[in-house]
Amino acid sequence: MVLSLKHGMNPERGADDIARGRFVSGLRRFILNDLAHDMRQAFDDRVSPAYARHHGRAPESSAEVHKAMRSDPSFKIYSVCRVQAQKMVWDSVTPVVRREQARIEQAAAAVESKARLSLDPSLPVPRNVDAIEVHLMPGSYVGPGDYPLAQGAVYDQGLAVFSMGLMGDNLDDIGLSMATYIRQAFPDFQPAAILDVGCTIGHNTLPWKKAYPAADLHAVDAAPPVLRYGAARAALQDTDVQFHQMNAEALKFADGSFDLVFTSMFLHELSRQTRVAFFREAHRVLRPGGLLLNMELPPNSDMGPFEGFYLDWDCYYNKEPYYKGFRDEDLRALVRAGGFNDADYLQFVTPSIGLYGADAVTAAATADPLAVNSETTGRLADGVQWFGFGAWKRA
Amino acid sequence: MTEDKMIPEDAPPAIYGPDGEPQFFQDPAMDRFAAVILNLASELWVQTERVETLTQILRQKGVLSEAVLADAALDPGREALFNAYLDRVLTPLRESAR
Repeated sequence: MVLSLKHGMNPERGADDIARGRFVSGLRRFILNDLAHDMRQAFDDRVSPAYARHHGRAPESSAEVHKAMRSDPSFKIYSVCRVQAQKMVWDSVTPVVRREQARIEQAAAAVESKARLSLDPSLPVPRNVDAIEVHLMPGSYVGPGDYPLAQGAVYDQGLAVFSMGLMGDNLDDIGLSMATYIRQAFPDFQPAAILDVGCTIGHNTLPWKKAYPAADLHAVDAAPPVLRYGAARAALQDTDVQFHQMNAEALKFADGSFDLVFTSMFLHELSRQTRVAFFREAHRVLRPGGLLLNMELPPNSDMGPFEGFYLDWDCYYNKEPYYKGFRDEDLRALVRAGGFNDADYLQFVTPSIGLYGADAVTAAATADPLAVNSETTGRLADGVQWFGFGAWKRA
Repeated sequence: MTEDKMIPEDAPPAIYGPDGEPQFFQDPAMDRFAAVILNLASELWVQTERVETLTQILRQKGVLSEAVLADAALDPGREALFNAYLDRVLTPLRESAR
Protein backbone atom coordinates (compact mmCIF):
# COMPACT_ATOMS: atom_id res chain seq x y z
CA MET A 1 0.00 0.00 0.00
CA VAL A 2 1.00 3.64 -0.46
CA LEU A 3 0.45 5.94 2.50
CA SER A 4 0.14 9.68 1.84
CA LEU A 5 0.46 11.49 5.17
CA LYS A 6 -2.53 13.68 6.03
CA HIS A 7 -0.73 16.86 6.99
CA GLY A 8 0.74 19.92 5.29
CA MET A 9 4.37 18.78 5.48
CA ASN A 10 4.06 16.58 2.45
CA PRO A 11 6.85 16.67 -0.13
CA GLU A 12 5.75 16.09 -3.71
CA ARG A 13 6.60 12.56 -4.84
CA GLY A 14 7.12 11.49 -8.42
CA ALA A 15 5.60 8.34 -9.90
CA ASP A 16 8.86 6.44 -9.38
CA ASP A 17 9.06 7.52 -5.72
CA ILE A 18 5.52 6.27 -5.14
CA ALA A 19 6.23 2.97 -6.91
CA ARG A 20 9.46 2.50 -4.93
CA GLY A 21 7.66 3.15 -1.64
CA ARG A 22 4.92 0.71 -2.62
CA PHE A 23 7.54 -1.94 -3.35
CA VAL A 24 9.40 -1.49 -0.05
CA SER A 25 6.17 -1.59 2.00
CA GLY A 26 5.12 -4.72 0.11
CA LEU A 27 8.52 -6.32 0.60
CA ARG A 28 8.32 -5.65 4.34
CA ARG A 29 4.79 -7.06 4.48
CA PHE A 30 6.09 -10.24 2.83
CA ILE A 31 9.06 -10.49 5.22
CA LEU A 32 7.18 -9.66 8.44
CA ASN A 33 4.24 -11.94 7.72
CA ASP A 34 5.24 -14.71 5.29
CA LEU A 35 8.96 -15.12 6.03
CA ALA A 36 8.28 -14.68 9.77
CA HIS A 37 5.71 -17.48 9.51
CA ASP A 38 8.26 -19.71 7.75
CA MET A 39 10.80 -19.02 10.47
CA ARG A 40 8.31 -20.05 13.17
CA GLN A 41 7.47 -23.19 11.21
CA ALA A 42 11.16 -24.05 10.83
CA PHE A 43 11.65 -23.55 14.56
CA ASP A 44 8.79 -25.90 15.45
CA ASP A 45 9.55 -28.51 12.76
CA ARG A 46 13.33 -28.81 12.83
CA VAL A 47 15.26 -26.27 14.95
CA SER A 48 13.63 -26.93 18.30
CA PRO A 49 13.58 -30.76 17.86
CA ALA A 50 17.29 -30.73 16.84
CA TYR A 51 18.14 -28.59 19.87
CA ALA A 52 16.18 -30.97 22.11
CA ARG A 53 18.10 -33.99 20.74
CA HIS A 54 21.39 -32.32 21.73
CA HIS A 55 20.39 -30.72 25.03
CA GLY A 56 17.62 -32.98 26.26
CA ARG A 57 15.18 -30.03 26.31
CA ALA A 58 13.77 -27.36 24.01
CA PRO A 59 15.37 -23.87 23.99
CA GLU A 60 14.12 -21.94 27.01
CA SER A 61 15.22 -18.35 26.40
CA SER A 62 15.32 -15.80 23.61
CA ALA A 63 19.15 -16.15 23.52
CA GLU A 64 18.97 -19.94 23.19
CA VAL A 65 16.46 -19.68 20.35
CA HIS A 66 18.67 -17.08 18.65
CA LYS A 67 21.70 -19.38 18.87
CA ALA A 68 19.73 -22.36 17.59
CA MET A 69 18.15 -20.41 14.69
CA ARG A 70 21.38 -18.80 13.47
CA SER A 71 22.32 -21.67 11.16
CA ASP A 72 18.82 -22.33 9.83
CA PRO A 73 18.14 -21.15 6.24
CA SER A 74 14.79 -19.62 7.28
CA PHE A 75 16.61 -17.30 9.70
CA LYS A 76 19.26 -16.36 7.14
CA ILE A 77 16.73 -15.56 4.43
CA TYR A 78 14.44 -13.62 6.81
CA SER A 79 17.36 -11.67 8.26
CA VAL A 80 19.22 -10.77 5.11
CA CYS A 81 15.95 -9.57 3.56
CA ARG A 82 14.92 -7.60 6.65
CA VAL A 83 18.23 -5.76 6.87
CA GLN A 84 18.14 -4.82 3.20
CA ALA A 85 14.44 -3.83 3.33
CA GLN A 86 15.23 -1.57 6.28
CA LYS A 87 17.97 0.17 4.30
CA MET A 88 15.57 0.47 1.36
CA VAL A 89 13.00 2.24 3.57
CA TRP A 90 15.36 5.18 4.10
CA ASP A 91 16.77 4.98 0.55
CA SER A 92 13.25 5.30 -0.85
CA VAL A 93 12.54 8.63 0.91
CA THR A 94 15.88 10.38 1.37
CA PRO A 95 16.16 11.58 -2.27
CA VAL A 96 12.58 12.94 -2.09
CA VAL A 97 13.30 14.89 1.09
CA ARG A 98 16.51 16.27 -0.41
CA ARG A 99 14.84 17.29 -3.68
CA GLU A 100 11.85 18.84 -1.88
CA GLN A 101 13.90 20.95 0.55
CA ALA A 102 12.36 24.25 -0.61
CA ARG A 103 8.77 23.01 -0.26
CA ILE A 104 9.41 21.54 3.19
CA GLU A 105 11.13 24.71 4.41
CA GLN A 106 8.32 26.88 3.01
CA ALA A 107 5.66 24.78 4.73
CA ALA A 108 7.49 25.17 8.06
CA ALA A 109 8.08 28.91 7.53
CA ALA A 110 4.37 29.46 6.87
CA VAL A 111 3.47 28.26 10.38
CA GLU A 112 6.53 29.57 12.21
CA SER A 113 4.49 32.02 14.30
CA LYS A 114 2.16 29.20 15.41
CA ALA A 115 4.84 26.57 16.08
CA ARG A 116 5.76 26.44 19.79
CA LEU A 117 9.36 25.41 20.16
CA SER A 118 12.04 26.12 22.74
CA LEU A 119 15.54 24.92 21.93
CA ASP A 120 18.47 24.85 24.34
CA PRO A 121 21.74 25.33 22.44
CA SER A 122 23.73 24.64 25.63
CA LEU A 123 22.43 21.06 25.79
CA PRO A 124 24.65 18.43 24.16
CA VAL A 125 22.86 15.81 22.05
CA PRO A 126 23.27 12.45 23.89
CA ARG A 127 25.43 9.82 22.20
CA ASN A 128 22.58 7.28 21.89
CA VAL A 129 20.68 9.88 19.82
CA ASP A 130 23.35 10.84 17.30
CA ALA A 131 26.20 8.28 17.39
CA ILE A 132 24.25 5.18 16.33
CA GLU A 133 22.36 4.98 13.07
CA VAL A 134 19.25 3.92 15.02
CA HIS A 135 17.19 1.37 13.07
CA LEU A 136 19.73 1.79 10.25
CA MET A 137 18.55 5.36 9.61
CA PRO A 138 21.47 7.28 8.08
CA GLY A 139 22.06 10.44 10.14
CA SER A 140 20.04 8.99 13.05
CA TYR A 141 17.78 11.66 14.65
CA VAL A 142 20.11 14.54 13.78
CA GLY A 143 20.98 14.56 10.06
CA PRO A 144 22.67 17.26 7.98
CA GLY A 145 23.51 20.57 9.69
CA ASP A 146 22.66 22.69 6.65
CA TYR A 147 19.10 21.34 6.34
CA PRO A 148 17.69 21.11 9.87
CA LEU A 149 14.24 19.88 8.82
CA ALA A 150 15.63 16.99 6.77
CA GLN A 151 15.83 14.31 9.44
CA GLY A 152 12.30 14.89 10.72
CA ALA A 153 11.02 14.63 7.15
CA VAL A 154 13.06 11.47 6.48
CA TYR A 155 11.72 9.91 9.68
CA ASP A 156 8.12 10.92 8.90
CA GLN A 157 8.19 9.79 5.27
CA GLY A 158 10.27 6.73 6.15
CA LEU A 159 7.80 5.60 8.81
CA ALA A 160 5.02 5.94 6.25
CA VAL A 161 6.81 3.35 4.09
CA PHE A 162 8.05 1.28 7.06
CA SER A 163 4.67 1.00 8.79
CA MET A 164 2.76 -0.58 5.87
CA GLY A 165 -0.31 1.33 7.07
CA LEU A 166 -0.18 -0.30 10.52
CA MET A 167 0.73 2.94 12.32
CA GLY A 168 -2.26 4.90 11.05
CA ASP A 169 -2.84 7.56 8.38
CA ASN A 170 -0.72 10.08 10.26
CA LEU A 171 1.52 7.57 12.09
CA ASP A 172 -0.48 8.23 15.24
CA ASP A 173 -2.07 4.83 15.85
CA ILE A 174 0.03 4.11 18.96
CA GLY A 175 -0.92 7.43 20.59
CA LEU A 176 -4.57 7.14 19.52
CA SER A 177 -4.88 3.54 20.76
CA MET A 178 -3.16 4.32 24.09
CA ALA A 179 -5.14 7.53 24.72
CA THR A 180 -8.43 5.80 23.89
CA TYR A 181 -7.57 2.88 26.17
CA ILE A 182 -6.71 5.17 29.10
CA ARG A 183 -9.84 7.29 28.65
CA GLN A 184 -12.03 4.19 28.60
CA ALA A 185 -10.25 2.30 31.39
CA PHE A 186 -10.07 5.30 33.74
CA PRO A 187 -13.03 7.57 32.99
CA ASP A 188 -12.44 9.62 36.16
CA PHE A 189 -8.86 10.42 35.19
CA GLN A 190 -8.90 13.87 33.55
CA PRO A 191 -5.32 15.05 33.04
CA ALA A 192 -4.94 18.84 32.91
CA ALA A 193 -1.27 18.73 31.88
CA ILE A 194 0.36 16.03 29.73
CA LEU A 195 4.03 15.48 28.88
CA ASP A 196 5.38 13.24 26.08
CA VAL A 197 9.07 12.39 26.54
CA GLY A 198 11.25 11.25 23.61
CA CYS A 199 8.60 12.58 21.24
CA THR A 200 10.79 12.84 18.07
CA ILE A 201 8.41 14.42 15.49
CA GLY A 202 5.42 14.36 17.86
CA HIS A 203 3.41 11.86 15.80
CA ASN A 204 2.18 10.08 18.95
CA THR A 205 1.96 13.29 21.00
CA LEU A 206 -0.84 14.86 18.99
CA PRO A 207 -3.52 12.20 19.77
CA TRP A 208 -3.47 13.21 23.46
CA LYS A 209 -4.96 16.57 22.47
CA LYS A 210 -7.77 14.71 20.72
CA ALA A 211 -8.39 12.56 23.80
CA TYR A 212 -8.15 15.42 26.30
CA PRO A 213 -8.77 18.69 24.37
CA ALA A 214 -8.55 20.90 27.48
CA ALA A 215 -5.15 19.54 28.55
CA ASP A 216 -1.97 21.59 28.34
CA LEU A 217 0.27 19.43 26.13
CA HIS A 218 4.08 19.42 26.22
CA ALA A 219 6.63 17.30 24.34
CA VAL A 220 10.34 16.77 24.97
CA ASP A 221 13.20 15.38 22.92
CA ALA A 222 16.98 15.71 22.99
CA ALA A 223 17.45 16.16 19.22
CA PRO A 224 16.72 19.68 17.87
CA PRO A 225 16.12 18.67 14.21
CA VAL A 226 13.19 16.35 14.94
CA LEU A 227 11.72 18.88 17.42
CA ARG A 228 11.92 21.64 14.83
CA TYR A 229 10.10 19.47 12.32
CA GLY A 230 7.61 18.21 14.92
CA ALA A 231 6.67 21.73 16.01
CA ALA A 232 5.90 22.71 12.40
CA ARG A 233 4.07 19.43 11.79
CA ALA A 234 1.85 20.03 14.85
CA ALA A 235 1.17 23.66 13.86
CA LEU A 236 0.19 22.52 10.35
CA GLN A 237 -2.43 20.31 12.01
CA ASP A 238 -3.63 23.16 14.28
CA THR A 239 -2.66 21.17 17.38
CA ASP A 240 -1.42 23.20 20.33
CA VAL A 241 1.72 21.51 21.71
CA GLN A 242 4.78 23.11 23.29
CA PHE A 243 7.96 21.33 22.13
CA HIS A 244 11.11 21.52 24.31
CA GLN A 245 14.70 20.43 23.84
CA MET A 246 15.49 18.66 27.11
CA ASN A 247 17.21 15.56 28.35
CA ALA A 248 14.87 12.95 29.88
CA GLU A 249 17.33 12.46 32.75
CA ALA A 250 17.10 16.12 33.78
CA LEU A 251 13.71 17.58 32.89
CA LYS A 252 13.47 21.32 33.46
CA PHE A 253 9.93 21.23 34.83
CA ALA A 254 8.99 21.98 38.44
CA ASP A 255 7.95 19.12 40.74
CA GLY A 256 4.34 18.07 40.26
CA SER A 257 3.82 19.78 36.88
CA PHE A 258 1.94 16.99 35.08
CA ASP A 259 -0.94 14.54 35.50
CA LEU A 260 0.30 12.24 32.75
CA VAL A 261 3.84 11.48 31.57
CA PHE A 262 3.78 9.43 28.37
CA THR A 263 6.46 7.75 26.25
CA SER A 264 6.19 5.60 23.14
CA MET A 265 8.93 3.37 21.72
CA PHE A 266 11.38 5.42 23.81
CA LEU A 267 12.70 3.34 26.72
CA HIS A 268 14.34 0.75 24.46
CA GLU A 269 16.60 3.48 23.07
CA LEU A 270 18.07 4.24 26.52
CA SER A 271 20.69 2.53 28.66
CA ARG A 272 19.45 0.97 31.92
CA GLN A 273 21.02 3.84 33.88
CA THR A 274 19.26 6.49 31.78
CA ARG A 275 15.94 4.62 32.03
CA VAL A 276 16.08 4.66 35.83
CA ALA A 277 17.10 8.34 35.87
CA PHE A 278 14.15 9.14 33.60
CA PHE A 279 11.70 7.17 35.79
CA ARG A 280 12.86 9.20 38.81
CA GLU A 281 12.31 12.39 36.84
CA ALA A 282 8.88 11.21 35.69
CA HIS A 283 7.96 10.51 39.33
CA ARG A 284 9.19 13.98 40.35
CA VAL A 285 7.30 15.94 37.66
CA LEU A 286 4.06 13.99 38.22
CA ARG A 287 1.41 15.30 40.58
CA PRO A 288 0.08 12.91 43.24
CA GLY A 289 -2.53 10.76 41.50
CA GLY A 290 -0.74 11.20 38.16
CA LEU A 291 0.17 8.42 35.74
CA LEU A 292 3.43 7.40 34.07
CA LEU A 293 2.48 5.47 30.92
CA ASN A 294 4.93 3.85 28.51
CA MET A 295 4.02 2.23 25.21
CA GLU A 296 6.80 -0.26 24.57
CA LEU A 297 7.86 -3.68 23.37
CA PRO A 298 6.55 -6.38 25.68
CA PRO A 299 9.07 -7.87 28.16
CA ASN A 300 10.76 -11.24 27.66
CA SER A 301 9.51 -12.40 31.08
CA ASP A 302 5.92 -12.35 29.78
CA MET A 303 6.67 -14.06 26.47
CA GLY A 304 7.64 -17.46 25.16
CA PRO A 305 11.26 -18.02 24.03
CA PHE A 306 10.46 -17.86 20.30
CA GLU A 307 8.28 -14.73 20.61
CA GLY A 308 11.05 -13.13 22.69
CA PHE A 309 13.73 -14.06 20.17
CA TYR A 310 11.61 -12.65 17.34
CA LEU A 311 11.44 -9.21 18.95
CA ASP A 312 15.06 -9.28 20.17
CA TRP A 313 16.24 -9.66 16.55
CA ASP A 314 16.36 -5.87 16.19
CA CYS A 315 18.91 -5.56 18.98
CA TYR A 316 21.53 -7.46 17.02
CA TYR A 317 20.72 -6.62 13.43
CA ASN A 318 18.83 -3.30 13.33
CA LYS A 319 21.14 -1.03 15.33
CA GLU A 320 19.01 -1.07 18.46
CA PRO A 321 21.74 -1.87 21.01
CA TYR A 322 19.57 -1.31 24.12
CA TYR A 323 16.54 -3.24 22.84
CA LYS A 324 17.19 -6.60 24.51
CA GLY A 325 18.46 -5.01 27.72
CA PHE A 326 15.13 -3.25 27.97
CA ARG A 327 13.14 -6.36 27.06
CA ASP A 328 14.99 -8.33 29.75
CA GLU A 329 14.09 -5.78 32.45
CA ASP A 330 11.79 -6.59 35.32
CA LEU A 331 9.33 -3.77 34.68
CA ARG A 332 7.99 -3.75 38.23
CA ALA A 333 11.54 -3.32 39.52
CA LEU A 334 12.11 -0.49 37.04
CA VAL A 335 8.99 1.30 38.23
CA ARG A 336 10.10 0.76 41.84
CA ALA A 337 13.55 2.17 41.07
CA GLY A 338 11.79 5.31 39.85
CA GLY A 339 10.11 5.79 43.23
CA PHE A 340 6.70 4.29 42.45
CA ASN A 341 5.03 1.59 44.53
CA ASP A 342 4.64 -2.00 43.31
CA ALA A 343 0.96 -1.89 44.15
CA ASP A 344 0.48 1.02 41.72
CA TYR A 345 1.98 -0.85 38.74
CA LEU A 346 -0.14 -1.04 35.59
CA GLN A 347 0.22 -3.05 32.40
CA PHE A 348 -2.05 -3.91 29.51
CA VAL A 349 -2.30 -4.83 25.84
CA THR A 350 -4.56 -2.77 23.60
CA PRO A 351 -5.69 -3.63 20.08
CA SER A 352 -4.55 -1.13 17.44
CA ILE A 353 -7.47 1.29 17.05
CA GLY A 354 -6.88 1.65 13.29
CA LEU A 355 -6.93 -2.09 12.74
CA TYR A 356 -9.60 -3.27 15.17
CA GLY A 357 -11.68 -0.11 15.77
CA ALA A 358 -12.54 1.95 18.87
CA ASP A 359 -15.04 -0.62 20.18
CA ALA A 360 -12.30 -3.26 20.44
CA VAL A 361 -10.10 -0.84 22.40
CA THR A 362 -13.02 -0.06 24.73
CA ALA A 363 -13.70 -3.77 25.19
CA ALA A 364 -10.04 -4.38 26.11
CA ALA A 365 -10.06 -1.40 28.48
CA THR A 366 -13.17 -2.48 30.33
CA ALA A 367 -12.88 -6.27 30.32
CA ASP A 368 -10.18 -8.74 31.33
CA PRO A 369 -6.69 -7.73 30.17
CA LEU A 370 -5.42 -9.36 26.97
CA ALA A 371 -2.58 -11.86 27.27
CA VAL A 372 0.88 -10.43 26.56
CA ASN A 373 2.38 -13.57 25.01
CA SER A 374 0.94 -13.43 21.54
CA GLU A 375 2.55 -13.22 18.12
CA THR A 376 0.65 -9.97 17.57
CA THR A 377 1.80 -8.10 20.72
CA GLY A 378 4.28 -5.40 19.82
CA ARG A 379 5.01 -7.02 16.48
CA LEU A 380 4.53 -4.77 13.46
CA ALA A 381 2.63 -7.21 11.25
CA ASP A 382 -0.97 -8.16 10.50
CA GLY A 383 -3.07 -7.96 13.65
CA VAL A 384 -0.69 -5.79 15.71
CA GLN A 385 -1.58 -4.95 19.31
CA TRP A 386 0.30 -2.47 21.52
CA PHE A 387 1.79 -3.10 24.98
CA GLY A 388 1.61 -0.44 27.70
CA PHE A 389 2.93 -0.29 31.26
CA GLY A 390 3.62 2.24 33.97
CA ALA A 391 2.47 3.28 37.41
CA TRP A 392 0.29 5.73 39.28
CA LYS A 393 1.96 8.17 41.64
CA ARG A 394 0.50 7.78 45.13
CA ALA A 395 -1.99 10.54 45.96
CA MET B 1 26.37 -2.56 25.61
CA THR B 2 29.91 -2.37 24.33
CA GLU B 3 30.54 1.36 24.46
CA ASP B 4 33.10 1.76 21.66
CA LYS B 5 31.17 -0.13 18.98
CA MET B 6 27.66 0.52 20.36
CA ILE B 7 26.63 -3.12 19.94
CA PRO B 8 24.84 -5.28 22.54
CA GLU B 9 27.34 -6.75 24.98
CA ASP B 10 25.89 -10.27 24.80
CA ALA B 11 26.09 -10.35 20.99
CA PRO B 12 28.00 -13.49 19.91
CA PRO B 13 31.04 -12.23 17.92
CA ALA B 14 30.31 -14.66 15.09
CA ILE B 15 27.15 -12.80 14.06
CA TYR B 16 29.12 -9.86 12.64
CA GLY B 17 31.61 -9.88 9.79
CA PRO B 18 35.08 -8.30 10.01
CA ASP B 19 33.50 -4.93 9.12
CA GLY B 20 31.24 -5.07 12.19
CA GLU B 21 28.05 -5.43 10.11
CA PRO B 22 25.66 -8.41 10.46
CA GLN B 23 26.65 -11.48 8.45
CA PHE B 24 24.08 -14.24 7.91
CA PHE B 25 25.57 -16.55 5.28
CA GLN B 26 28.84 -18.42 5.64
CA ASP B 27 30.14 -16.71 2.53
CA PRO B 28 29.66 -12.95 3.06
CA ALA B 29 29.24 -12.46 -0.70
CA MET B 30 25.84 -14.16 -0.36
CA ASP B 31 24.64 -11.39 1.95
CA ARG B 32 25.63 -8.81 -0.62
CA PHE B 33 24.01 -10.63 -3.52
CA ALA B 34 20.77 -10.97 -1.58
CA ALA B 35 20.74 -7.17 -1.20
CA VAL B 36 21.29 -6.72 -4.93
CA ILE B 37 18.41 -9.07 -5.76
CA LEU B 38 16.04 -7.04 -3.59
CA ASN B 39 17.26 -3.81 -5.15
CA LEU B 40 16.67 -5.32 -8.59
CA ALA B 41 13.19 -6.43 -7.63
CA SER B 42 12.44 -2.87 -6.51
CA GLU B 43 13.77 -1.32 -9.70
CA LEU B 44 11.88 -3.83 -11.80
CA TRP B 45 8.64 -2.92 -10.04
CA VAL B 46 9.25 0.81 -10.49
CA GLN B 47 9.73 0.26 -14.20
CA THR B 48 6.74 -2.04 -14.44
CA GLU B 49 4.52 0.68 -13.01
CA ARG B 50 5.98 3.30 -15.33
CA VAL B 51 5.64 1.14 -18.45
CA GLU B 52 2.08 0.32 -17.47
CA THR B 53 1.20 4.01 -17.18
CA LEU B 54 2.94 5.03 -20.39
CA THR B 55 1.51 2.20 -22.42
CA GLN B 56 -1.95 3.08 -21.24
CA ILE B 57 -1.55 6.74 -22.25
CA LEU B 58 0.18 6.09 -25.58
CA ARG B 59 -2.39 3.54 -26.62
CA GLN B 60 -5.15 6.01 -25.80
CA LYS B 61 -3.44 8.62 -27.99
CA GLY B 62 -2.53 6.20 -30.79
CA VAL B 63 1.17 7.21 -30.89
CA LEU B 64 2.92 4.02 -29.75
CA SER B 65 5.18 2.56 -32.48
CA GLU B 66 8.37 0.46 -32.54
CA ALA B 67 10.29 3.23 -34.41
CA VAL B 68 9.51 5.76 -31.70
CA LEU B 69 10.68 3.32 -29.04
CA ALA B 70 13.96 2.56 -30.88
CA ASP B 71 14.77 6.27 -31.35
CA ALA B 72 14.23 6.89 -27.68
CA ALA B 73 16.49 3.98 -26.76
CA LEU B 74 19.40 5.65 -28.60
CA ASP B 75 18.94 9.03 -26.91
CA PRO B 76 22.29 10.10 -25.32
CA GLY B 77 20.48 10.95 -22.06
CA ARG B 78 19.95 7.23 -21.55
CA GLU B 79 23.58 6.79 -20.42
CA ALA B 80 23.17 9.05 -17.39
CA LEU B 81 19.92 7.30 -16.48
CA PHE B 82 21.62 3.95 -16.83
CA ASN B 83 24.59 4.95 -14.65
CA ALA B 84 22.26 6.13 -11.89
CA TYR B 85 20.38 2.83 -12.17
CA LEU B 86 23.56 0.80 -11.81
CA ASP B 87 24.49 2.81 -8.72
CA ARG B 88 21.10 2.20 -7.11
CA VAL B 89 21.07 -1.54 -7.70
CA LEU B 90 24.69 -2.55 -7.35
CA THR B 91 25.83 -0.39 -4.41
CA PRO B 92 25.83 -3.34 -1.93
CA LEU B 93 28.69 -4.87 -3.95
CA ARG B 94 30.96 -1.86 -3.36
CA GLU B 95 33.41 -1.92 -0.48
CA SER B 96 32.40 1.65 0.37
CA ALA B 97 28.79 0.57 0.95
CA ARG B 98 29.72 -1.87 3.71
